[in-house]
Amino acid sequence: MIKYILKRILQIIPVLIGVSAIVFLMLSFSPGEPARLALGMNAKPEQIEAFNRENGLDQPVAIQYVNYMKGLVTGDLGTSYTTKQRVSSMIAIRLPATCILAFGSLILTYLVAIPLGILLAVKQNTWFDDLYRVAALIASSIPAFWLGLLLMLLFSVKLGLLPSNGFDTPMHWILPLLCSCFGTWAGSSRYIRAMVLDTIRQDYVRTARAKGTPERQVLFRHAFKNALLPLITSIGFSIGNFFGGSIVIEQVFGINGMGRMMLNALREKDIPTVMAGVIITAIMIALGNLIADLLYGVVDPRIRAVYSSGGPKKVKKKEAAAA
Amino acid sequence: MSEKRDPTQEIVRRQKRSLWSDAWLRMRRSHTAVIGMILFLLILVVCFSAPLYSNYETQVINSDLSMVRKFPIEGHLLGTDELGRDLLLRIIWGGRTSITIALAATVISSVLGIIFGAIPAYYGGATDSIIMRTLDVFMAIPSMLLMITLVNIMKPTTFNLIMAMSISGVPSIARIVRGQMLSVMRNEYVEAVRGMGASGFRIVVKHVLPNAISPLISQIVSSVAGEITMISTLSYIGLGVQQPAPEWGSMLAAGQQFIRDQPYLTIFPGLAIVITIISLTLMGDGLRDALDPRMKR
Repeated sequence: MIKYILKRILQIIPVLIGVSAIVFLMLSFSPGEPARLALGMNAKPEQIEAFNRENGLDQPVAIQYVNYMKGLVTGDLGTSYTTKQRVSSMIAIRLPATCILAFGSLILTYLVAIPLGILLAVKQNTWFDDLYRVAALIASSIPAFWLGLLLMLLFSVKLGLLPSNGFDTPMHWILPLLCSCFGTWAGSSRYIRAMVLDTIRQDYVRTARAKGTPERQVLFRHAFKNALLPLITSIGFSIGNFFGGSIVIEQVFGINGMGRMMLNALREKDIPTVMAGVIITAIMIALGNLIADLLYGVVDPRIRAVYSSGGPKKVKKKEAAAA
Repeated sequence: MSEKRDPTQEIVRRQKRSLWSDAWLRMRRSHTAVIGMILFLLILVVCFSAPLYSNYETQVINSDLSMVRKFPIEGHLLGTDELGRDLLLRIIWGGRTSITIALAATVISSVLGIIFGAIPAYYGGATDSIIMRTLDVFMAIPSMLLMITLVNIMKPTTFNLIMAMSISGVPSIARIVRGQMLSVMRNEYVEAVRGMGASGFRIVVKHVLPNAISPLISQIVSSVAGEITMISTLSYIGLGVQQPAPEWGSMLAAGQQFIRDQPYLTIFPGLAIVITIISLTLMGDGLRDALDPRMKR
């Protein structure tokens, strides 16, 4: 099991190298000089030269990348071109807000969507199911940033109940979290409904019923546990979406998080700051996928057996061939 | 020889026609899909006939400071915006931009996605590994972040926006195409065609892709909706369509400042986005059901 986890963590490394290389190249070859953007339009040529030398920008891009990666391995994320602060300390200030937003959204999404999905499956083809279908269609069509504005309009401007700007207290968290979860609630609950309905038709569920198992137990022990499996797979993917989505949500609610930091850094071509943001996001997604894989083992004894018998690599190959 | 060939061709042709006409029949039977389709066509007609009933320069771009933020007001159904321009006309012209960009980006990313999904599926081996691992790396970056990076490193022209949105849409489509193709290619008829000496290109384009593509079509229609959300989001954070050109997202960003006193400026452009997306989603869902062979009666 531990061997498997280690192996998975090692597999993250090539992805990180790929992501960092692509983003670094895109940034390096894009138009606009970082020195001009950092020092302003009136900067003298000597100043620009000094800036480039100081930040290693006078060297070929390949060497710049290698230098950056060398720093990264030793835990040095570099210094921001514009704020002159250590990128690591900039991130330390901003990461908590983004993590609360992203992981909070993830937890809140499933906390609401799972019971709702089961309820919808139980109430299949009733008025509740039909009404929800319409509601979900509308909910998933609303762009997150517009929903943010509407929530702000209702709860902050009209009712004066919740603050619309910042992220200092849990009261500030409510609107951004609602905004970030709203669309996924609709999609995930419909998805869970479909999964539960799918498993409920399986033979083993009929067998369980035939044995006289109470309906509640059939639903939760037999049907839901199996319906959960495809849902877990989507956790890693969802984390990525929430991290990406937080860029917009932070912008709407004026939250001083990583997303806004990256957005500003991108505008100013502040390469070290953008790179750090991208790499941390990629690590979060990779960890999310790893957690999803491990949860798989917790829920499904068949997969647990594969882990303990030397890792699922062989199975994966077979699966890949079958897919 | 010709007598023998004709009946088989007849059968092949009839089957082909029946798949699409069946799908069309089933789609027509679904009320929601028809509503979605009519709604979207209506939006298209209203938006793209705009030059016939309005003047872009004088009514949509030029400001009129005597008419700033008035709602309700005669002659302007949805009032005027922060620079005194007719809000409804700006929404309509904004729709032209959003829908054009979304459609173009969807078409380009679908074509590229089909190419980059078909190549690894057909050749397998090292080609497969290299292309799929590269796409994996792109997929490891959240699409919003990838898009913002791409848009930021290029100038925000319409063409660059379309390119950026197309690129970030490619990996997911390529993955679906590859998966579909791999399962279709295992069929015996592909082996038969190969045995008859068809070239690789012909096998893929004529025999494998048409069978692999139908699950993709509803995905593509729904992704137009996703692209519309994306372009308005980009414009909202200031990276998409630039002022003074109208676009739903940038109109919302401009209206946000006046949310306290003139909330209609943030409500109407948003409603336009939602209605367009709902129409596309209804259409996509209808198509998915219509093209699903399991739904065939």
